[in-house]
Amino acid sequence: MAINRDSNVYTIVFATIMVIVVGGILAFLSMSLKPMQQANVTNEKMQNILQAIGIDETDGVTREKAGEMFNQFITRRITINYKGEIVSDKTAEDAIDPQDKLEAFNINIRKEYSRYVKPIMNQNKGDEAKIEEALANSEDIHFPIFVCENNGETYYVLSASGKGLWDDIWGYIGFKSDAKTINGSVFDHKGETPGLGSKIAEDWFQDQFIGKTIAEDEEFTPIKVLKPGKELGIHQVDGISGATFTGVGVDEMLERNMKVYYNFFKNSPDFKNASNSDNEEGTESAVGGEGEISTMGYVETLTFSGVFTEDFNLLLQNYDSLTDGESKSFVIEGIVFSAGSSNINVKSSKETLDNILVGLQNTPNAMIELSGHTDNMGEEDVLLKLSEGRANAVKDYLVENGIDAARISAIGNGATMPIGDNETDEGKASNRRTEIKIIKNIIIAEVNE
Amino acid sequence: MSETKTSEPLFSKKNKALITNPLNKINPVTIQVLGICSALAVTVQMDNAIVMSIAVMAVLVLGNLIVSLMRNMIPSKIRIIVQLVIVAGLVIIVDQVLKAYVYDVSKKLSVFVGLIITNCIIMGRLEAFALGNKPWASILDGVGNGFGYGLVLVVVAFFKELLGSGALTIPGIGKLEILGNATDMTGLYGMGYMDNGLMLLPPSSLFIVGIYIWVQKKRNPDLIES
Repeated sequence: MAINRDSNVYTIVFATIMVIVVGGILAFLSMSLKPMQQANVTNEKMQNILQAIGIDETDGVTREKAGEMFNQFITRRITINYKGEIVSDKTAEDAIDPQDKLEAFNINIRKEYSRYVKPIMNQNKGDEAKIEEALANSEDIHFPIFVCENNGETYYVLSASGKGLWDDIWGYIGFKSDAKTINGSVFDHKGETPGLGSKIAEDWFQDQFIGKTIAEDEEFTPIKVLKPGKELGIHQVDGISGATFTGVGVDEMLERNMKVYYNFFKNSPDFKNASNSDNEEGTESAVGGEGEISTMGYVETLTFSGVFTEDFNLLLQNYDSLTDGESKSFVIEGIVFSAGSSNINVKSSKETLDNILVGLQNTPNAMIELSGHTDNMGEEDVLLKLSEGRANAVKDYLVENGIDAARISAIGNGATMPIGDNETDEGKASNRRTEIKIIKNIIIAEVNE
Repeated sequence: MSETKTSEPLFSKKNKALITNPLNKINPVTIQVLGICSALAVTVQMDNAIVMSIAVMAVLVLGNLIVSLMRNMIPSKIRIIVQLVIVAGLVIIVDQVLKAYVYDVSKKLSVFVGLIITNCIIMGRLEAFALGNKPWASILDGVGNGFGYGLVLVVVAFFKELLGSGALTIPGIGKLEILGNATDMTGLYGMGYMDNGLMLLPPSSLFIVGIYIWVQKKRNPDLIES
């Protein structure tokens, strides 16, 4: 019996079987090859780090061997944040724990760049001061440092990540013991134009950085990638013909990242002896992850219950005792928005909104910042707009009911500052939130009066 | 379907033509105008062009074979989708295996592997040949078209790299600085020669492909349309 190949049933059955078979093959393949692929990536990273201090493949460090050699050379692995605080500090004796997210080796600078740094830079385009402030406040941005010993010399391997013409670029830069002079560099890229931008991964480009320095007269001076053929100073290297934008990307990435490292090394010349207590404190504030909490002063003495309305009232009651500049954020509970829009469901949200309203009326000097946050389901731009719209909707309600608009700022953060795991529904729900930050600011308060 | 003679020799005249014709008279790039985009993009260095040609040939041969084997089962309504799934599946498998076993090669290929899916030669040959021919003929067609594509890519890359960077990179051998080293001012560069930057950019491929077609048609007058 001949099967009618044009019938709808046949077509649907064929398509179904095909999808299941192909899907099954691919899933099986991906599962069974994953460990080997992962090992390749890890070893390559180790090899790159060793190359940055000048230990090359010619010295016997092949990719396969890099894993064993890594611990012979790397004596310490440190993670710092944008402000230069140490959040993780491991020695060669501590094995690399793949689960430890703050472990310097596990910091995925590419991921952090595209997930956290890029949104901040896009949002505050052109406003350097604002970008810097936002970067400093983010707890998701880390900078790994690898301290290496080779032939009695100390080296520091630092990382950088940024954007080239098409996609991510990243690199490991090895510094001599003065933490200013470059000893070697390794750059790599995800999808720069083959034969043009992709040349940043070639030796001649990387070797140019050897001997260059990022400091002049005790000031940070970034390394610049110039158009090829110019005369080069101690802070300049030749670019690649036909790949100007990749060069600009390298420029930007080095400046943004090296600045942080430079300040870290400059401000903690004896960082080697950083006391344990410092580390613990750093780790705690980074792990806590509850919005931005400035931890100095009076706020710390209050005991918060975890229920928004109570905590909010408690802080406002104690507002006068806060010191200038002190602030605390809360996740607002009880404001309901229509899905995907910034319309407040006034009926279910009235109680919470009115509580905030009364609180602000009773504490006329309190300044607040409303910030909207979303989960990661959707386009970046749309999420930013939505979160900003929601923060503004709350602001509008308060202003309509008589609060001076100058006391309230409203910002949208989109998906850039998650507090929960976006992989789970629960985490997503906790990421969809509006935060209120109460700020004590004497100067502005006086102006208002 | 021509299933009359089963004892046709493996390399009959007809089958040999399947391999040789795409090199010249029905060259996929210059005559069929398939795969132009990658001919423009991945020809800055010889090694990229060669590796890309090999990868395309591998996928083309396998894709042709599978589609040809299934040609009597594929519902005609969704044949394009089926072909697409086969090609995409093949490319992903190749990519995954490369990443696990030959990581260096996979890094070198990086974006190219993904680009193979979009290479019109593959869909073009599956649709035009494999759907209507037996497996062996389809394999030969894949090899022939792969070579035809590779030939143009290598010729274009040869001129682009030689005139653009003064060197040739051959896989397995490395970079041969035929015209000397520009930074050390050796060879031709010592006499004041300079690289032509335009040759590194995609437009130059168009010029070279154009000249290639001109030479080809000059030598094969029967290719000229009246």
